Amino acid sequence: MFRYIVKRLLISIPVLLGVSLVAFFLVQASGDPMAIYVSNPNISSEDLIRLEKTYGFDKPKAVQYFYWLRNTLKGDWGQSFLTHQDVFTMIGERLGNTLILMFTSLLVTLTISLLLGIYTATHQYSFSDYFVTGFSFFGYAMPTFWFGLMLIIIFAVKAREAGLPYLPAAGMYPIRGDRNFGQLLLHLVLPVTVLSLSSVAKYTRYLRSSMLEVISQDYVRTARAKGLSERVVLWRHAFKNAIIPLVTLVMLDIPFLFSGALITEQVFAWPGMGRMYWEHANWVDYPVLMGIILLVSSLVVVCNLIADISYALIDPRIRVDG
Amino acid sequence: MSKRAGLIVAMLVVASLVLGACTTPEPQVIEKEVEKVVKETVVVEKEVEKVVEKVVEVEKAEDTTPKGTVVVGVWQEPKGLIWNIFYDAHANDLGASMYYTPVTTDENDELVAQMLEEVPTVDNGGVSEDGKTITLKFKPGFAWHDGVPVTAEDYKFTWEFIMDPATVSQTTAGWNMIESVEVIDELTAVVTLSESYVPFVASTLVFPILPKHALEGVADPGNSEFARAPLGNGPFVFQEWIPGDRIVVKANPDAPIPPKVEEIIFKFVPDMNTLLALLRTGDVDVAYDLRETQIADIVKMQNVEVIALPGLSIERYYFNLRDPQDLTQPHPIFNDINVRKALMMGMDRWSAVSGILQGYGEVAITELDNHPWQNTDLEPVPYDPEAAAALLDEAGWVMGEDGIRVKDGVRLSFRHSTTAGNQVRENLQLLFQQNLKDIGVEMIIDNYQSATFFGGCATDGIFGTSNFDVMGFTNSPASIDLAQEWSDFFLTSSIKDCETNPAGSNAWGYSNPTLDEQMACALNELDPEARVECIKAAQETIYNDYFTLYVYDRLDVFAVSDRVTGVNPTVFGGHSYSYAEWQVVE
Repeated sequence: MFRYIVKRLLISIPVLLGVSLVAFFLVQASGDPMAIYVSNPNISSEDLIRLEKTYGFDKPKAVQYFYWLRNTLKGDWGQSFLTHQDVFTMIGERLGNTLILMFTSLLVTLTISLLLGIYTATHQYSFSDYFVTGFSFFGYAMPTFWFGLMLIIIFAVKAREAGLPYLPAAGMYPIRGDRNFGQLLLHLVLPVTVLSLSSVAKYTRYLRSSMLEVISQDYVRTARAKGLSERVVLWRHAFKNAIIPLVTLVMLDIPFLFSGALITEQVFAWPGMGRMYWEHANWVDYPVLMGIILLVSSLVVVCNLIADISYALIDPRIRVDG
Repeated sequence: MSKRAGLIVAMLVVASLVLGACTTPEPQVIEKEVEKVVKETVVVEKEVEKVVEKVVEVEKAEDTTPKGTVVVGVWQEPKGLIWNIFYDAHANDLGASMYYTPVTTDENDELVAQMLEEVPTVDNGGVSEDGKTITLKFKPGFAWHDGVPVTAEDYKFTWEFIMDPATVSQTTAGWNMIESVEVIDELTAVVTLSESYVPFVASTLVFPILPKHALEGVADPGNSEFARAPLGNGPFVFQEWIPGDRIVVKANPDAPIPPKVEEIIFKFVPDMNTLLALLRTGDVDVAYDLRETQIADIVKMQNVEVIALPGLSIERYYFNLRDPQDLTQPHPIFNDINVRKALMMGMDRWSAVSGILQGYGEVAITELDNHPWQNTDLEPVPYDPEAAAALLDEAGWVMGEDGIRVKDGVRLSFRHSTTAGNQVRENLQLLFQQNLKDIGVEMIIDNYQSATFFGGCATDGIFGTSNFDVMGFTNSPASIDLAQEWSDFFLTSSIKDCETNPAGSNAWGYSNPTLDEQMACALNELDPEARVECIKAAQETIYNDYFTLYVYDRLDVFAVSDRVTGVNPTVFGGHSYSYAEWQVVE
């Protein structure tokens, strides 16, 4: 097992290098970091040329990549061209906020999907099965920016105007007033609803099919034949086996929790990673973009490894070979 | 006093008496207030109800301790708070709460001294006869928020700081014209320019001074603590910056002109629609830099007033006068002035304004629309498809079989490029595409992400390599005076060429010796009247060359909740010149 882990980690080094190379050139190909200043009448062309030199944009891209790689290997993730801050600091400022949002919505998504998945599997082809399936796809297909805005208008604006209890429209904490845990929960409701509704479909469908597969297995029939109650059959025998594939699915999704939700964070003014990525992507601020990409791709590698190992732990039939 | 004004005054007296009866203040006070209000008859004529509110406000103003919190919705977070390193309009607007400036603009958009005793001019001896020496006399009483007085040394340091390459200034505009700064005493500095540069007073003295004692010797200031928690000298003191969320400033009790609100929260809301929702719920009190297309929504909101000023930002289309395939050659289509004129006459900008912009905007005419120096003799290029077609016929472009004109085997077809993802710009393109098709011209929409569109030489950007037929974007003169950079778009000497002149901004290859002279005069002529004549003539020259189509004048759109008074936005000062005057009415 130990050898296996070491081997996997060693393989991940060229993988990450490859990712960084491709990402660097893709990001660079998306435009000119100096473009933000061109139409600003107070920044002269001489200023532009001077800045270009300072930041090394006049150097060939391969050279720029090499500089970036060398510094990153030394543990220096570089500075943003826009904010001049260390990329590491910037990620630190936003990561916590994003994780609060993303893990809450994952938790909500999983809870709902588990219940719906089992329900639809045990009531296959019933009206409620079709209804739940239809509804979850409706949520999946809803454009986030539009749905988010509708929720804001209904629950934050209209409800307030009608004198009903209302929810905050945006941000993590109230603009005026105390920042406390209760307020944070209130501010989480709308963005978490948007995020969960769009991912419930995926998990529900997955769990439904996995559950259906397990229910038709011989050992479930045996359990029923033994005279066990349906509840025990479902939860003790079927469910435990049905969630194994889900563990992988969740594990593989975790890295993307760190990168945040681009549109949701934008619409709800959530001060997270997704919004930061978006703001800096518009102006090709590549140290920031590369920092986030590298963080997420490293997590992909690690989480893949964890998924494989935990698979072996949950399901004794699967072995990892050294 | 006119009859009408008299009537209104009478109504006011009645109104105040009624009001007075309700609140029973001292009768004397009311009379004084009425007098005050009378001075503002222009405002009064519009809305009598408003004035009643004003009377209430005056009563409250007796207590001068700052009160209440105002929330400003900002859709673009500043990158940092040292203005020359993180130069953008929103950061400057926000920074103005924390910094006074040597000169500024007032509620009438006139240049007034703020930290200086008076605005330096040739007449008052502040500017020398040759225009190269400027004497700055600071008023006493200005101090940094840590209590250290602001001195002429700080001014000298600011210049050194901006010009130091290690600072990595984004802008050095104007400051790069300074040859030396001599500190005569604590409150007097003499600035010597390397050559006469008339816009210096109005364009460069409007920027904040930085504290020497806090910034001297700071390595990498852009990444310093100061950049995220600045030390100012203005009406408000920096309080906190929560990244991605807000910046909070608190009233400075020692300010020479103390502010009236206790706290301003600049709340960052990147999505415009969310910002409007917060405005509607009353979470946000003031919003600015909104879009014309949002006005209709804001007008519907109760308790929110929308103020739309005809601004200086003009959406314009530049015709490339060089062949994008080979910049040494003239453009195969646009080289002919009559073709350019015909295309301009073929685009229905009036329908664009009334339809796409819902009437919120004006068809543009010159580079300096709505500026005091606008050449008002010029009329907008008319929409006249028949005359346009006739011009094209005359120029030898005959209708081809596919409905597109041809001349010597060249189809009258061009690419029209702007920034991708901007709904208004894209709708304008669709309209003009149809307009031009009607006169036998093919317009191909070819848009790019901003970072590619404005990209320079190093990244083969559209702007950098002049790889476009028509390029559309918005630009404006940056300040109340014309900064040097204004002329860079037009001068022969700044024609862009990645090999010989990568610093040039004239990517369209426009060249006219007459304009070059007029622009030089615009920057160097010391006689104010002669100078304005040059500036007006320059507008006419550009106009007569039919090489830039000024599409429409954008509106500066502000939304202000009725619980806040005193914002009174102006064209040059925006909302940020008046922070100290803001007041909360509960």
